[in-house]
Amino acid sequence: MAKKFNLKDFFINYGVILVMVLLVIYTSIMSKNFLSVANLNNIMLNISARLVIALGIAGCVITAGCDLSAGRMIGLGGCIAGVLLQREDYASRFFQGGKPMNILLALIIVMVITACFGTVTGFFIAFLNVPPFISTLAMMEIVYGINLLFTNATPLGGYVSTYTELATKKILMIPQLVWISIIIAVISWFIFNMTRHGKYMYAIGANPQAAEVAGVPVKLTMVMIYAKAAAFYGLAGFMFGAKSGGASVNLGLGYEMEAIAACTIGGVSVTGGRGKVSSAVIGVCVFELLKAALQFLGVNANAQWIALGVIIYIAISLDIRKYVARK
Amino acid sequence: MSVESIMQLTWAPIIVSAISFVYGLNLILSKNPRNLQGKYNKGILKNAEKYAMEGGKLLLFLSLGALLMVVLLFYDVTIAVMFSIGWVVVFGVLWKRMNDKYGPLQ
Repeated sequence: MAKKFNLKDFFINYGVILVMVLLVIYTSIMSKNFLSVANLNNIMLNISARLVIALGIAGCVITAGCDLSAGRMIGLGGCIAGVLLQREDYASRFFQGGKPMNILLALIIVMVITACFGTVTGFFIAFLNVPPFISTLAMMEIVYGINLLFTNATPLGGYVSTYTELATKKILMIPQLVWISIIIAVISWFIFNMTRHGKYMYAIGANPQAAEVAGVPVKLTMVMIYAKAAAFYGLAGFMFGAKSGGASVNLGLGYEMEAIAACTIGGVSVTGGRGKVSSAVIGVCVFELLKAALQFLGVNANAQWIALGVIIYIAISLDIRKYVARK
Repeated sequence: MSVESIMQLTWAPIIVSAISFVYGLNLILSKNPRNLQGKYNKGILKNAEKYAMEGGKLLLFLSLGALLMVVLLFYDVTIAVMFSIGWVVVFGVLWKRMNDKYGPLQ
């Protein structure tokens, strides 16, 4: 029998998204430039890197965890990529006399280094039983310190054109950075839905004790989830560097909160066991559209933070309410 | 050095120190391990009260480490980073011992 439509449930499930869609429609009516090609292009670029972060964090959130070190990993990834991809003739070059590296090789190095840090975080969580919230908080401090040591707090710039062109050059009218995020979304979808690792991830999120009894390698899976997430943060840092043409130790400040919020808005449950790649995609799109809409409506920059905070609060409260109702 | 430049240099360890301090104190005062484990984690603990107390103390330990890192950052970044790595490793080992003693039943 078909389930009866319940307006209250509908608003609880999709209320935040609905309000944001209405806000976007309202903004596009009030400001004609909102739906201009240039603005949509900018929004797409903003979405691309943030989607990669959200897809990394989604894995952690599905296992009822979180990753507060994401922002610092992005900063580290951006700085490593920046150092490796500076122009030869750039006066303030970090490594004087060296040559810029191949972009793909630089990307691999960035992802491997950040994945190593993610592995350590996963080890703390899985083998030392430190709660994810605390171990990622500690890792945030360590990664920040290492990045400070590495760059000496010097802002980086003067990148090779092939790197910055990732944000400007287009393939089929879509910027290359957006294609990268689409590829990552497809890979994530495959991992989440088609692999044993993905199934383990959901099982751990739903009930870690039951998963362990059922023979799921909980510890190894947890380490892999945090390593994969960190590799994604490195990639996101690489993408932010290409977009802005520079990087510093403070790159990615607060992005982990935005990513967790986007995941929750899209439907990844903070209580674990639930969430899809599409949830992260919807959440990030809605969140970025909201930010752009607030800017176009001329809302004070400080008030925008309050508005975003309220949205996060409502989204997480509704998510907890859904969990309690299911119980 | 202006307040802004100090904050730019030390914001990360200050945040870590503040959060772990508040969380640790909360655990010690409330003696409620759910504040640490999450409200919806129904795992049975060997000794819930001790778990909260010892967990809270360890979080205060982490908070102190982060605070010391803030101070060391003004002298030498390398020493500060090495110190924070060492401190976090010790914290992890102590946490493991605490968890084995009072944590969830296997």
